[in-house]
Amino acid sequence: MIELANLTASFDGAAALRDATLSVAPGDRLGVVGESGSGKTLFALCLMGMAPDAANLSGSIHVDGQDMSVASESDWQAIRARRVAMVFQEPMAALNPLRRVGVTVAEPLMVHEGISRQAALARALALFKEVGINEPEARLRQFPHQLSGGQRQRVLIALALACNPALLIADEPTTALDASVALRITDLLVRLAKERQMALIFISHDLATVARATNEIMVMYGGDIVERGPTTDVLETPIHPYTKGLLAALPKWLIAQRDAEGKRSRLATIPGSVPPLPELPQGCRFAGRCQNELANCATERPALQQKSVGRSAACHLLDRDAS
Amino acid sequence: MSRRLPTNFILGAILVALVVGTAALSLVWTPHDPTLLNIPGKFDEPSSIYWLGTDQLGRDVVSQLMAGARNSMAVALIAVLIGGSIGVSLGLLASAIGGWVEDAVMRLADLGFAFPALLFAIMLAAVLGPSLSNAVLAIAFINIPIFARVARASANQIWTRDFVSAARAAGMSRLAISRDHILPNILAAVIVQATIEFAVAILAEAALSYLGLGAQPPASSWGRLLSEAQTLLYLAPQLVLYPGLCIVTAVLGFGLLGDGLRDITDPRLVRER
Amino acid sequence: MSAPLLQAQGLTRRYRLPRQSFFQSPPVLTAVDNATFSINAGETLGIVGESGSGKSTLARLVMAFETPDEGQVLFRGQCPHTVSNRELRTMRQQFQMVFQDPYGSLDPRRKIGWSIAEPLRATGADGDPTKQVDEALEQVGLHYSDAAKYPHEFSGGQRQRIAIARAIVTRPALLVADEAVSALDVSVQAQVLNLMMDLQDELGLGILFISHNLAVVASICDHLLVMQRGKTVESGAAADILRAPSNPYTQSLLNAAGVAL
Repeated sequence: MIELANLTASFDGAAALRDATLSVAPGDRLGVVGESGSGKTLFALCLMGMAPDAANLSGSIHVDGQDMSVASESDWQAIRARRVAMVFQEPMAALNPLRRVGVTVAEPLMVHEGISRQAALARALALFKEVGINEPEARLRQFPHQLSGGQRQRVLIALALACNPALLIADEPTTALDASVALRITDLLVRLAKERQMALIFISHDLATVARATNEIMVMYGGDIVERGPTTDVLETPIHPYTKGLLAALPKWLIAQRDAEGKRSRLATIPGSVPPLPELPQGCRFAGRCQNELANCATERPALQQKSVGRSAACHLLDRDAS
Repeated sequence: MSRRLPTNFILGAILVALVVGTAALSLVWTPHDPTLLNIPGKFDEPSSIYWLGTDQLGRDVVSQLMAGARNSMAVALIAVLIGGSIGVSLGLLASAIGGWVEDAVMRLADLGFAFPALLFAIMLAAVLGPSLSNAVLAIAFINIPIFARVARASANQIWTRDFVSAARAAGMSRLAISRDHILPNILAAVIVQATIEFAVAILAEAALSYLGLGAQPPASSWGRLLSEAQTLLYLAPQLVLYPGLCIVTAVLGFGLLGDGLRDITDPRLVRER
Repeated sequence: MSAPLLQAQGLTRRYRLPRQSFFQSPPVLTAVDNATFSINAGETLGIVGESGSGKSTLARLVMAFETPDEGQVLFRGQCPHTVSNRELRTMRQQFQMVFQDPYGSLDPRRKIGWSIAEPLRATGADGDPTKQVDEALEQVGLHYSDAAKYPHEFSGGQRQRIAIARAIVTRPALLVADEAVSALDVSVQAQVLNLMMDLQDELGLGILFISHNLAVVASICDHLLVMQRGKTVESGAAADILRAPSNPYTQSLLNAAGVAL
């Protein structure tokens, strides 16, 4: 229901998001993985028409067949919350501390559907139950600071679901939460996506959570989509050198083994660091840090090509291996 | 990051530059000697010689206003500087030591707030005699609690930041931390407060001089000009208008400048991430 | 075997909360309850817990930012809470801290060379700190010319390196890392963890590593202390605990973190 074709977002001529092409259908659960500067948050904002004003956009976005590339702010407002909704990272910052949470969730219903306050609060109650908030009647009347981190995140999810969107974008929804709470929130999102036949885009730098929540995964680096495929496949047998490096750098459960001399083994790292936006190589963004770099990597951009069914990666090594 | 300066800052800066520039200029040049009496030429109409005319003693109005600007600016500047320095030091002390010292300093500040400013000035004048320097003292005194409060509040926030904890971990004394880390980081808030207090100080000086507690003749100030012109309201109303307008311009200018500075500094600090 | 670098015995810290009603005495929150542990030179002790476990309070007690209500901390036999202020400031050169937030731990208004040299200045050491600052920068993988730059010119990972440089410039014996890598990307985190291990080998540092991330703790800690709501629920060798936890809470942490990858 959402289709992107060659979406590019530039700031002062430097592309922070390049040629993103993607289609999401109801029921899809897509994970977007990347580190700082990967463009994943910008990508999410573009899907909501909330890219910063300074961003120069090109390419196209179609929501439910409607071309949104030339849409005005009011066109987007009609889409937001009703077709596409977003859950943000910091539950405390996203909730008005001076408002009872029930009112916060009821308000979009009153605005978008014109129903009465009572009816909206009744819907909010139903949503609270759906997202698993305990003692929902009492919670409706509480303020954000009276809730725990996990409960606040559930409130934000309820808020996002209020108008029954077809696509829910969750941007780092579990980063600010404890591991056990994060687990429950992740499972909640998956359950909701399945029950409501809703598409879910789960953005996170935490590979474990993404693995649990999604059936397809997209890896981003420096504004490019570098690899895509079924979640388990990509995480078990990565193709792109960046994905490989990222997985290798994860702290292993190999408990701090000291060898005969008392030395510990080091974690695998990706050498160097992400260059600032204007200094990213014009070809493959990962050039300069890649172990298997070829001569043309820095200057020629590899296209995202299929390696096998459902799996694609943007890497010149694929061409070399194929030929 | 867009670098458009807020309008109130630009407007304020222009007005302040105007007033301060005039005051500075008056040190080296005025159209006429402001103290020169010219009784036969009293209440003259504005002309090419006397641009705004003359007052009840034949003195050039423009020159008087310029000389008045000098005193008003000087009093405001010195008073706020003195009061500000003492206030900020007290605020930093209170924040650094905390505990009963902080409470004591803040209660003293509350006392200072509760005491009517004008009353204090009058008391001071009664004891020391009316003069411009006593006006400075009175206004400086009133500024102390204001700056103490602002400094303490801002300082308390900076103390919680990690880089201050790191300085403590490094073994820095509270004095050194206050000097090296706290003070530079609260300067923005203090400067904003200071520009606003300039405006208030100009008004305060005008009030004191109007009451005869500030500038004594032949020293001129806008307040005193107002006071003298008061009795002549029906004879020459313009003599009340001119100093009044000057006061309004200066107060407005500093006020806008302070507002503009606040707009500039606050969002930047947040955006620093 | 030499005496432990850091010893904590029965550390307890309580906070009084605001009164709920006029008729009851104010409730007391025990942030840290009877914590006991020790660290030797060249070893890393991990403190693991979720939010509200008291691990940050523990860090503050060890760093002598707060005084325990019960128990004591001994650093090389000396208690930082009972010595005079002046002696404490000298002692502090021996134990340093790296904070979680790479954006808040450096004074934005100071060049990083100045910030790194701060622990050297603290005891009024005269003389030019440039040599030591340059050395510290090289040790953390940065360039000596970086000393003239400001924090905002660096990335998060680089700022943590700068924070580490500041922490080691006095050649301390103990490093307290409070969620030092939690705010970093995975690949940057790996680099910083490797750096910490390198420095430990080079300088013989003892490291107190506080984190909520079990996987990270597992990869660099020799010993482990698991905290829940202020209490120590398990402690011992990291390998033993993580392979076979004896406490159900530890097991639940492992379950929550050890998702199949």
